[in-house]
Amino acid sequence: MKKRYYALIYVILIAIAFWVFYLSGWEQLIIDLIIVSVIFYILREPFTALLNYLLKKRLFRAGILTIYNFVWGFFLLWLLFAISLELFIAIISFLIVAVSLNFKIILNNMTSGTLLLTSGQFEIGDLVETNGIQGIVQEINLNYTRIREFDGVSVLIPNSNVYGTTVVKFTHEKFKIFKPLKKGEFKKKKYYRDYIKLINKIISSNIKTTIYVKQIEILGSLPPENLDGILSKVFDFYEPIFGIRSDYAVDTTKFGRLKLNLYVKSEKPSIVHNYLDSFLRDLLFQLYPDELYEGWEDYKKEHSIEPPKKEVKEI
Amino acid sequence: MALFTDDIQALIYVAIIGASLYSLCRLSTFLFDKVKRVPIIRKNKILFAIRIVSILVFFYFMIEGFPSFATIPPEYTAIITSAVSIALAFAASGVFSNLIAGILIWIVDPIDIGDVVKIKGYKGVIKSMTLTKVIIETFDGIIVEITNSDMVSSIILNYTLKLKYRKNFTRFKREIRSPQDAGNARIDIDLFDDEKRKKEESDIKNLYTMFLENDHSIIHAYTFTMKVSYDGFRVKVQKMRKLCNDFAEKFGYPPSFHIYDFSYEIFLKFRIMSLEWRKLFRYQPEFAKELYKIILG
Repeated sequence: MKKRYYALIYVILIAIAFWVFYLSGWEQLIIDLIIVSVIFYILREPFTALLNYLLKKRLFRAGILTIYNFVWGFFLLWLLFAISLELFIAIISFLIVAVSLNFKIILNNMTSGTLLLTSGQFEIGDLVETNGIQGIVQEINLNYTRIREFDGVSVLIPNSNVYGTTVVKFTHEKFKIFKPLKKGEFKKKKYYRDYIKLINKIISSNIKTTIYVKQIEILGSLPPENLDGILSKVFDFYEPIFGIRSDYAVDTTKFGRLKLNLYVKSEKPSIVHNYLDSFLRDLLFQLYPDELYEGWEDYKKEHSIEPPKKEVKEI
Repeated sequence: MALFTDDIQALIYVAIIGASLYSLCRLSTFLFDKVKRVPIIRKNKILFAIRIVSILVFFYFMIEGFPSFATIPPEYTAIITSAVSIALAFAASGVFSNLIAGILIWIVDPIDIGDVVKIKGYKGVIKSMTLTKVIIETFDGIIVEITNSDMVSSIILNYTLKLKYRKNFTRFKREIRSPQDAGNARIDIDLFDDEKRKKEESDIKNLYTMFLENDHSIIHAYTFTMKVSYDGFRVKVQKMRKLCNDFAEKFGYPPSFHIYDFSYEIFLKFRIMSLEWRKLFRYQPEFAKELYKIILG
């Protein structure tokens, strides 16, 4: 816009200010409040710039700016109150209803968060799947549930989305069954310490187990009679790592391929989280060595790739 | 005190005022169309302001003009006023939802400016966060404004790692490593020896030195997937590993990759770590293009 337009706007503003001051006949309070509001408006931009310069942390900047805006809003409402009580009441009731209508999002997430924490649906550190996200639950805060995916990326899911939808729990409690004691053993009162130990054992017996179900497809080129042997080799190798032997079940055959469910089991979800991909890698290399290593020897010779100096632990 | 003496007179005047305001709006539109000097954005703003002011003036004459309105007892006026304001509040409540959500985001603080995120399908870096919206610059270089109410109710993927312990190398290493690093899921395990392990260690040390020198507090760990056929997979893996080493200088750390699924093809996930999002945005497409050449070449 050209400078003469700006000049015109400033002339009009000065004229309005002159009218408000000398000719309007308004109360001094109203005039003061108008001046305060205008000063707040003018100072807002330089104040924001100064804050950006002084404070590095966004949280503090946003906090101070919010306080600034609230103070400004307070003066504006006071101005409204001074001008007309009816208008003030109408605007206040409008604001109360309009703002409170929007609290439903926040309340919904907070309530869902509380329910998630108290209902024992899942706990921090469990391996779950919800809203298409698989991973370990890291945190449940006021609004979000934080899940760490298998590739290490943090995902924030609104609590209401988690509570209001299906949650697949790969980690769940499993009760250990103890052999019942003989009647005679209970009568020996001097062994009360052993009884206490036994009770503690029973109380802490609900250990958690993670059974992660991974669906994979096997190509038709693999002879069905070889499948058991290959999978067993990998399962045996990973048994000491996971603590429990993995398992599998045939699901279906499709387009000449076999779909099967792998059950990767461990007492600790983090072990499944960390070792699943190396487990899949070894499985893949055991299943299709010919296809995968096609041209590898020639490539090695061509590029003079030397074998590793130290023997790698292989299956 | 009403503006006019009786209702009939008020009705006539209000009708005349309404018609003249409407004509004024039409006339201003016509005039602005004729005047070429004023830019179109300013034209639009001025016309919008004229229309809003016209509506407010019309309602002012409607309320204050009719003498019979002044005779309504104050308790009924209060009821009508509150009913009207509640109705307006219901209608306009959406405007405030962003503000409320903005305050919640400020309290919960799920993301920060400079984080590389994926929200509602948009992958990019957060450029600005206000009380009403979050502004993201995507990998394609476009700006996406996401309202805070959308933010509160959508799933957010955060590729940025905020490191708590900056001064300790061991903790730094532990915080930046992925589950695959912990489980040693590298595909070229058959060639992995002490020499390679030492190189890997020195790469992390270099990254840590850069991290401390430039006084960073965050690291971006972006992931993306590629599908590779079974034939000659091992050779392709070797080529990809070489490519990752070539890109180490550009990103500041060599990208890594691992198998995360297989069916009719093998699904690979690539993880790029970088201290600066600009490097990530600049070189990731180039890296993906080179990968494409290896996979389908």
